[in-house]
Amino acid sequence: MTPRETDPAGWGAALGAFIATEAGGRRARLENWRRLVGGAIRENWAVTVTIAGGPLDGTHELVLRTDAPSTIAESRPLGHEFALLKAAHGAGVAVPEPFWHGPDASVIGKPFYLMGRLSGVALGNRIVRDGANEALAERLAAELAKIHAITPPRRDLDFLEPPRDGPALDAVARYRAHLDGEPEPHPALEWGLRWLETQAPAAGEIVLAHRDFRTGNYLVDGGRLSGIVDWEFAGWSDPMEDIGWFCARCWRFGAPGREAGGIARRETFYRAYETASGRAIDRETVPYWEAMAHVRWAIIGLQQTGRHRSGNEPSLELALIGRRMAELEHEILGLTGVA
Amino acid sequence: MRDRPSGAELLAIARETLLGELLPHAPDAQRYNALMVAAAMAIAAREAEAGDGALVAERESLTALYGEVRNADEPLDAALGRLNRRFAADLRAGAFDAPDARQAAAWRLLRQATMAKLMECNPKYLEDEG
Repeated sequence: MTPRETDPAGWGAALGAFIATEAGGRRARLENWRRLVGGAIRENWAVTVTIAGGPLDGTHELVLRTDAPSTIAESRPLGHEFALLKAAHGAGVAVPEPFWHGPDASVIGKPFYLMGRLSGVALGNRIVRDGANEALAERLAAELAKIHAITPPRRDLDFLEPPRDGPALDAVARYRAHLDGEPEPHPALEWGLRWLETQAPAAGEIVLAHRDFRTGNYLVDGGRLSGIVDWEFAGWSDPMEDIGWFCARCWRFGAPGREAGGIARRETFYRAYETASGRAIDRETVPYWEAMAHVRWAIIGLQQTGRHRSGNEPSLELALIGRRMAELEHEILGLTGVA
Repeated sequence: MRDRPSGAELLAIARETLLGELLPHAPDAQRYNALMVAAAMAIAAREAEAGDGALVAERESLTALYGEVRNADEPLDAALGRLNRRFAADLRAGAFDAPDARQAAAWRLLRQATMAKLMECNPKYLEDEG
C-alpha cells in the first residue's frame, strides 16, 4: 500500500474549484491521494472528495484518471473513454459512475476525468487464485450482453469509426500497418494475419465491443462483480471479438484449464451470454476471434515494449512484455496450424 | 579466456540472492518489482546458457526453405534478419497459401523458432499445457 498523501501533484486547489463548479456546490476538498497500481497507459489516483453544498453535498470516494507519460496507438483519447463510460453506465452496465471530465490542460495541465471508485480487486492473478467462480462468469456474460446491446448509430459515440471491410479485415489491416513500423520482422504474426485474412467470417452484426473485456479489467469484491473498467479500447465490432478475447488463453492467468477467463468453464460463460443477449454463439467462430486476440495482444505488446525501447519511458514491466511474444505466437500457431 | 563464474552463473546466484535474501525484506509495494527483476534475470541466464544453437537451426531451416546456399561470410544476425524479412513478406503476400509441403515446412519452421524462444522466455508455459 502506497502512503496516502496530502496533494502529491499539486492539483488539489485547481481541482477543488473545478469540482465545486461542476457539482454546483460552494467548495470541494480533495484528500487521501493514493496512486493506484496497474494501468500502463493511464495514471489512476484514488482520492476522497468532500463537496459542501449542492446536490452532491457530502463525501465521495473517487478515482482521478489521466494519461500516463506516453500512450499507445491502439488506445483512445481520454475524452472518448469518458463518453464510452457514460454510454455503458446509461445502458445499465456495472461500471464506475462517471462524474466530470476536464477536457483540456486548463485545470491540472492535462485532460482528466473523475469517476466513482469500485470496491475490490482487479488483479488477474488474485482473482484466478481464488479458484473457479461460475457465478462470476455468468454475471460477466450478462454484463457483456448489455454492452453489446449498444448499437450504432449513436450521436454520443460518433467518434467511433464505422467498420469499413468488416471488423475482422479492418483489424488485419491495422495490425499489418503496425508491423510495418516495427524494426524487426515477425513471421509468426504474419502467418497468423494471413490466416485471419483468408478465414475471415462474413461481416455481420455490429455492436459496441469493449475490446479489452477480460479478467484483470473487472473488479471483484467477496467473489462478486463490482464493475468493469478500462474502456479505452472500445469500438464498433463483431460481438464475438469480445467473447474470443475473454476466453483467449493469454488471459487465463495460469489457470489454462478454466477456459473462460481463468475463472469458469467456457460453456458456462457461453450459455449465460446467450440467455442474456438472445444471440447464439457460433462455437466454430470463437476460435477465429481467439487467434485474433493473440495477434492483437502481440501487436499491443510490441507497442508497449516499444515505449521502453524508445528510451522515452524505460520500464522493466514494458521491457518484459517484449519477451512474451513467444507465448502468443505459440497460441497463434496452434490455432491456425496445418499439422 | 574469461574467468569463472560465467555470466549465466553470476545471474543464477544473483537471482537466488534476490529471491532468497532480499525479497523477504522488500516492502509489499516493491514485491512486484523484485519478481520482475528475477524474471528478467532468468531469461537472460537461459539465453546465455542456450547459446546460438537454435538461431543456427533457424537459419538452416530458412535457407533450406528458400533453396539458398549459405554464405559463410554473412553474420548469423544479418542472415536471420534478411531471411525473416523475406519470409514475413512472402507470408503476407500469400506465397504459402497452398496446402502443400512448402506450407507445412513454413509452419514447422515457425513452430520450431517459437518453441526455442519459449524455452528461453517461459519454459513453464509448456509444462502448464499438461
